[in-house]
Amino acid sequence: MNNEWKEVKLKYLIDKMGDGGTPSTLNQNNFGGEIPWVVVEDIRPEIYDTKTKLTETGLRSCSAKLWPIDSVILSTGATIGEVGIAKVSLCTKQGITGLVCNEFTNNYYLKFWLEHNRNTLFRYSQGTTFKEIRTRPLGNLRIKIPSPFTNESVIEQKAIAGILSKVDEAIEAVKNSIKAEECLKKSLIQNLLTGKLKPDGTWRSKDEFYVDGKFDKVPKGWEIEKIKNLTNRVTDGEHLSPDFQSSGAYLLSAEDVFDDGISFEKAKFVRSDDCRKFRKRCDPDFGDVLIVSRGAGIGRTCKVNQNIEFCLMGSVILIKPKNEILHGGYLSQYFKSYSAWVELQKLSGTTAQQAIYLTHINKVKLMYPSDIAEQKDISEFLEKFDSDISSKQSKIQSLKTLKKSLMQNLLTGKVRVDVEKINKLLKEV
Amino acid sequence: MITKQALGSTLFGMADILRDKVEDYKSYILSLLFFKRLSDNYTWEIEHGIQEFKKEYSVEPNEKQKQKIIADKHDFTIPDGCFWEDVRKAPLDKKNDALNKAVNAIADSNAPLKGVINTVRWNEPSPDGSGGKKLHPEVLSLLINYLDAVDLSNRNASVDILGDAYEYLIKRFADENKGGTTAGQFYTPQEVVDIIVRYLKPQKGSTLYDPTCGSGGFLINAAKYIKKNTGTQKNIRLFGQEDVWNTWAIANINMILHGLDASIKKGDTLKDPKFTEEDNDLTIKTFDLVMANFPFSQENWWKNGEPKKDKKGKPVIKKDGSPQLEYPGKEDFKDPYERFDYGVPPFSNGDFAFLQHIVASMNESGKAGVVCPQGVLFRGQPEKTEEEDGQNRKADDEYMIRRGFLQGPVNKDGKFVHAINIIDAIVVLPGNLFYGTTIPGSILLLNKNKPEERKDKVLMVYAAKEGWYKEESNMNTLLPHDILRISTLLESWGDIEIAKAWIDSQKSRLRDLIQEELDFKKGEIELDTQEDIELAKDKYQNTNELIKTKEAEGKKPTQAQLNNLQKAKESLEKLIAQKEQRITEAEKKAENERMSIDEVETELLTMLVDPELRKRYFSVVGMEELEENEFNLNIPRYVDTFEPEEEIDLDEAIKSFRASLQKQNYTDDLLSNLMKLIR
Repeated sequence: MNNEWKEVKLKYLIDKMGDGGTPSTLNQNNFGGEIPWVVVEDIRPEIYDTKTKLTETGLRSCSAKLWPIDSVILSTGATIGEVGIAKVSLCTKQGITGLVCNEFTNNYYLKFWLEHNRNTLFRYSQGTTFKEIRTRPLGNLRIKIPSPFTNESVIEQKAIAGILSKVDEAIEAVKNSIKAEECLKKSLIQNLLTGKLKPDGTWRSKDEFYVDGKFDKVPKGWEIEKIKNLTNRVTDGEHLSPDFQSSGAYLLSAEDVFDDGISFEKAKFVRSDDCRKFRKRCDPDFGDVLIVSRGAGIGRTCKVNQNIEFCLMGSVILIKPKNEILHGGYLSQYFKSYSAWVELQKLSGTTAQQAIYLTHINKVKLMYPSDIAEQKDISEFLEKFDSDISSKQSKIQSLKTLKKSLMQNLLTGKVRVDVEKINKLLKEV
Repeated sequence: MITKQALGSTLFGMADILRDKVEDYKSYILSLLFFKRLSDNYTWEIEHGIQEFKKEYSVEPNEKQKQKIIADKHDFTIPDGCFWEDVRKAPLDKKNDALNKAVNAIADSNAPLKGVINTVRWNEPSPDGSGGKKLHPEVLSLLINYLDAVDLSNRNASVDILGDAYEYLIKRFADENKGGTTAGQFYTPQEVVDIIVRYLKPQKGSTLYDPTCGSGGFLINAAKYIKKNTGTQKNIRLFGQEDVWNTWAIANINMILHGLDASIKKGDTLKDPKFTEEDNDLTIKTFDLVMANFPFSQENWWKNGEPKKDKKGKPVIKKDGSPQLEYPGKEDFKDPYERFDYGVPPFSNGDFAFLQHIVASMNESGKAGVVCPQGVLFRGQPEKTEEEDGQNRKADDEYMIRRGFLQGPVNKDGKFVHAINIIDAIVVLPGNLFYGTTIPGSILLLNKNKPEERKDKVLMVYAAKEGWYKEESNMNTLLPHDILRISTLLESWGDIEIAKAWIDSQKSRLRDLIQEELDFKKGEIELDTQEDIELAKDKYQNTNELIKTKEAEGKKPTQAQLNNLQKAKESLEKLIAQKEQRITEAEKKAENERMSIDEVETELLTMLVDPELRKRYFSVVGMEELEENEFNLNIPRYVDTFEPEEEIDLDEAIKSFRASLQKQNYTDDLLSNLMKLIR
């Protein structure tokens, strides 16, 4: 029996394929109908809906074709290699190709294969600034499949695709869970940092508040003070480019500041002498607060959570709270809130904020419980979420690595799977 | 009598003849129009004088008396052979010369018209030396014939009507040239002018000054305000300076057509201010009220910049293609007019130079309303020490000047000469509101004699929020209800009783504005559609008559003829329906606008009693808070310009978090089982 893995030209695995089109945007009757019209931003692993929809007239007026449910949708112009499965009948813009598999091909298998072999797709493309893959070369793309043109082939493809789909689902589930957790944390910040909710889970009653001009309702026993008066120092790291070493004292930059603490994994090194010199002006210690002051991670903040000596680069601001009145963890949680963002926006001179300034941090007014133990309870409560979210993020990374390895092995025949058992398990769920 | 709407639209029709034929065609149109007016009115003035004589004495004046009437009646003299008729009758090849001769002769015999009526060189030869004219005689002839049909004498167009129609033309020219730099230089949107004039409240006898007056919109609006309140436009004293010849001429014509007595001088306000004291021409003259929309952030305002050279001696070019300039130090700089009490502004940006010229032009109890770029509110940093910001720097001049406006000028040792806050209020406007620039502007209101209770306070009004102005593809505008929102806040400083009275006093005025706008729109539609409808009507009638003639002859009309008739009828009906549709739309828009005024009234009265909402509209800021903010006047520091954070329901959040965890566990288990089957 033909049980070998072979490379088969794509055109022999499909019934139909074709590029999409765009109706005239001048005619308003073309848009706003019921037919989903896929642009590259609409492509997901499974496509249920699109942002723009066409009318019957719109579809008929241009070269867009209607693709049935289960078609493979692949971007072939400009952005190449985004791929998904149509879960509704839909049409596409030009540069997005629809593929209908024949009886020897599993559509999810084809989708994963294209996803994994994005680089091969690039090789089939033409054009310098605007890259595209034409239909004819695409048809000649060689796809690796088990025992071509047999029923067994489809069953095996289905099992392989099934495994990979479940990895995707797991990743999606973790992503959703992060989203839900971030939302929950936001709500907790809204309630905990305003004193509405106590860290023990009980709510403050109305008469436990007093009214302040700027902050409206302030819990009794809480204070409002400028950060300048609550800290020993607000400064930032070394501005001059330091003399890096392959080992020595740690020098952390914005990339080493994470939501749940600092990391030394990718830290750079400087001579201990230099570190000592830098630390004269900027000496981060356990319990201090760090804020990324510019660049992509602007505003990211954490408490210094490790007792290792290090110095800082200029892109990170150091705040040294007066530990007897302000808990660093509480301050760090405050800087994660929307109100802190608004405060800093207000202080910055321009509309588009490009940097956080030391003088602005000093001016921000903070509302805090005067009982330092309460500050500590609040921050520890919220920090649990930060570390949990962070561990979920690393989980996504490991799932992605797993998926890559699975694709390398399963889509090439390097590892053969027990088709029967897997399809049985997949059927059960 | 013609309405100003009809007159305005008719006159703008001249633009269709001239557009793309000459550069700066607005000057051609506006000065030709002025010539026609003088000429038309000259004849009317005589007739009118004789009639008045008859009315008063019930006898015809004799020849001698007639001469006296003629001598007194004319504001301007027109020499023989220099009338409109003379130019109109001139043969085609002499037309340009005839017109040029006429306007120059009038300029020569009327001192105030020198350079005003004759800005355009009508007989300018074409540059190729062929002996032809730059403005083709046929185009000129078309223009003259078009305008000939409109009687511009007082009989048909009174001073008010003609003046308003002229202003309408100026606005249309500005609209046509929206993005170009010249539009901003001669025109400020009336809505902003309206807000400023109404806050300053010019009085009878006030002296009014605009140092960069453009076509004179501020001065005219203020004069109209006085006239409306006092019933007379006598004793209104207007002063303006403008640096561009053609614009200066437009401003002068604008004043004359409105029948206003104004002194509009030509020159660079910063280098060569024209209004100085009689006994000392280095002392700036002061006025009761100053209004201005100066050019935003003018580079090299003292004209002392030199092109910067790189090491190889090549000039350094900026991103926009203009040469980078280098300026001398300020140590040796001295303003001969001693206007810069608060500090010398950077030579690279004229904002604070114009502002200080304005402050110097205000008398002891003077007030000013100035349109500025928002940069003046926050540009420039205070002194910074090493310890504070890791840097060591002196205070910027612009910071020092702004602080000076709020606290008083300081001497060389940093001591206050006298402590006084002259900033009264600030309005932050949306972007893309002004001509020739898209950057967001603001209104700065100054007062050298603030009422006691507001002495150390500044009112900040936030008007840039989305929905508080009308967004259009090429330009934003303030609608009448947006004017109401801003002016009520300015007027009341948050006092609800004052606000109520103010809104009552403004509502009918704003409704009139809406009506006026609608009438202009209708006039425009009428003019737009007139020709097509006439043509279609003619075609229909001709076809119809053809058929009737045939029928009269006892013949049957052919099918083709009947078809033609049907077609002609349909296209006529279609055109009429389209016109009706446009009128209905315009009326609907006006109706909505009227309703919006009532809505804004409710909105404002609700807001004023809610402390939470007040914070999102305006703030009355004390000196202490300004000091705390290092005299940075950026509006978000004082007014809540950010959307409040959406509140998340905690129970909901917990529920969906739990659900997500469950789903995660489930997929994890399944995946783990699958992996067992592989390895």
